[in-house]
Amino acid sequence: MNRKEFIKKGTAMGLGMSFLSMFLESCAQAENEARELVPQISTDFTGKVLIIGAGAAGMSAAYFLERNNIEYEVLEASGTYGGRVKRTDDFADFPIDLGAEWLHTDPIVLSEILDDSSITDNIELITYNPQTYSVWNGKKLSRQNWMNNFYSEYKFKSTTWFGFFEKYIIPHIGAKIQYNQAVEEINYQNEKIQIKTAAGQTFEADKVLITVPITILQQEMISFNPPLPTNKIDAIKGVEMGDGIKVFIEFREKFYPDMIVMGGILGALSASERLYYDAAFGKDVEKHVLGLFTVGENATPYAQLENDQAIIDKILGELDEMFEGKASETYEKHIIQNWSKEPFIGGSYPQSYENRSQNIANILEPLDKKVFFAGEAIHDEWQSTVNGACESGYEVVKNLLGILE
Amino acid sequence: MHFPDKFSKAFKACYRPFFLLHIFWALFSPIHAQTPISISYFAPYFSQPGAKIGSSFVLTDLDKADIERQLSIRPQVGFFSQIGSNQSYFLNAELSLLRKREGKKRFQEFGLGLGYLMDSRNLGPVVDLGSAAVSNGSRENSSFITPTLNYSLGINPERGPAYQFKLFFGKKFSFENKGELFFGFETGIILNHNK
Repeated sequence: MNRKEFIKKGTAMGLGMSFLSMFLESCAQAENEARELVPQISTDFTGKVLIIGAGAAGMSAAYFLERNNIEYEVLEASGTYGGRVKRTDDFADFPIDLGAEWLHTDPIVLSEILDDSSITDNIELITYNPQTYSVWNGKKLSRQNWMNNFYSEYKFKSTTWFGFFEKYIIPHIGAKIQYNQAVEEINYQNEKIQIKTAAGQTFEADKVLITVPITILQQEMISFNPPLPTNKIDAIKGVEMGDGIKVFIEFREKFYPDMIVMGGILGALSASERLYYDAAFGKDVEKHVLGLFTVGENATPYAQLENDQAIIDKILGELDEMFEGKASETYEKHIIQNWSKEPFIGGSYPQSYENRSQNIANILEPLDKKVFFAGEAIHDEWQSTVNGACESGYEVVKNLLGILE
Repeated sequence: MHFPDKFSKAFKACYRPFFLLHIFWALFSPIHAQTPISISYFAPYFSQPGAKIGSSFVLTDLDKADIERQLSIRPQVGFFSQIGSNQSYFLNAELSLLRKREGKKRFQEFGLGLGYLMDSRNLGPVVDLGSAAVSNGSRENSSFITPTLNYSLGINPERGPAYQFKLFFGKKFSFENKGELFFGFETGIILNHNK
């Protein structure tokens, strides 16, 4: 669910709920029952599963297999795990999510993803409910604080999504991840599946789970033998994966509101988002860090610039126009994460689908019951979210093992 | 406008039972044989559900020809919430001019309101990763003054309670801000409305 859908659903829910349940909820925190996402299963499968991609979906699938003592290996094209979950520790006095940052659902999902009652840690979250808003319509910056009544979700207070995986998932699966192994070819015509990587290595497995971003499949960076069915190719190409970029800038003072909505008030409701936001909101830190988060067609004018200098010049120019030169005057440093140009990623997350349900079903359809697909883009309910990626990993790996049973 | 924590805690502690008792009193007390009581579903910003309960005291009758006009003062208490984020406690008074044609059931009201709003914002929950328990973290309280303009349309049948639909629009002022929009709707019943 993207932010637009989140806001829409949240608003509808707010209008529809009776005041009494609200009152009771205020008196005592409602306790939702946690789902069992990583159950202990019994299976006759004795083969090996090869997971392609160590993003959220791949790490979760690996965690599931690890917990169930099933042989697996993870091939990651880049030099690190995380995929679109990424962190910088040394930019400010708090860790910054360069990729996925928000938690768009009930925080209980963090416990559900781990599904491990032996963990004794607590995680502190921020209710991300920016209090001061401005809207920039291209000419004028207007204060619109009333918007804070329509939007609220969560962020990590002192860790990040990357930190969450690093601390609770990677210790279980880290030894099974092979880095710098960009898969180029998957041959599934024989009983054993053969996987060739750009590094020249060949791997064999009984089942393969592909969790790479949809852009990698669209760009045909992995070839399949036999080739993918036409309906699957069409479904993959029918997903519009937009550009995506995040930029963080440190300033000597906070001259900006908690959030700046770009493109007028309706800009906040667009699937193609462009927001400047106080990245330190609620974090009890000293540094003043402003973030730019933009995806889809609004991200393209930034993401497709020739280099990082051109990007930061454009952003400081925009901010100077809004704040009468204050940005350049108090600028300290910046960091740019251009997801559109990130190797093995190539974009943000899906902006739209042709025939959404049918397309997702077509992409999810396994190849000869041997090659499976998972990831946030093909999770029907929580598309574009980290928890959606994790749940997709869990669901598909269960399907993979269920077929074997 | 930040009051000391002790004030906020005491206010919140007293407010909830007071609010529930008020509703109970409104529904079951015989006092509204003389005094109208309104009970409303109240949604500031159209997105934050809550309830408001109030009474009405006539200041003066300003009847003119076949039009009934009545100036009243209306003290009210309310509670509303943004799910998972804010809880707001609301004390309000409205100066209201009712206008109704003689013999008609439909009435209109124009009102000016002045309220005190205490907003309690949840700064963030804490998740116990092992047990999946989610507990409330710390809260921050802010106080606001809320002048509003109100317009209501209502029906006052011969028998049974009157009911009305109200739109309100105003500003929320604190020491920290120059005022932000405060708007929404309210719908509910009025017991013993001029009966």
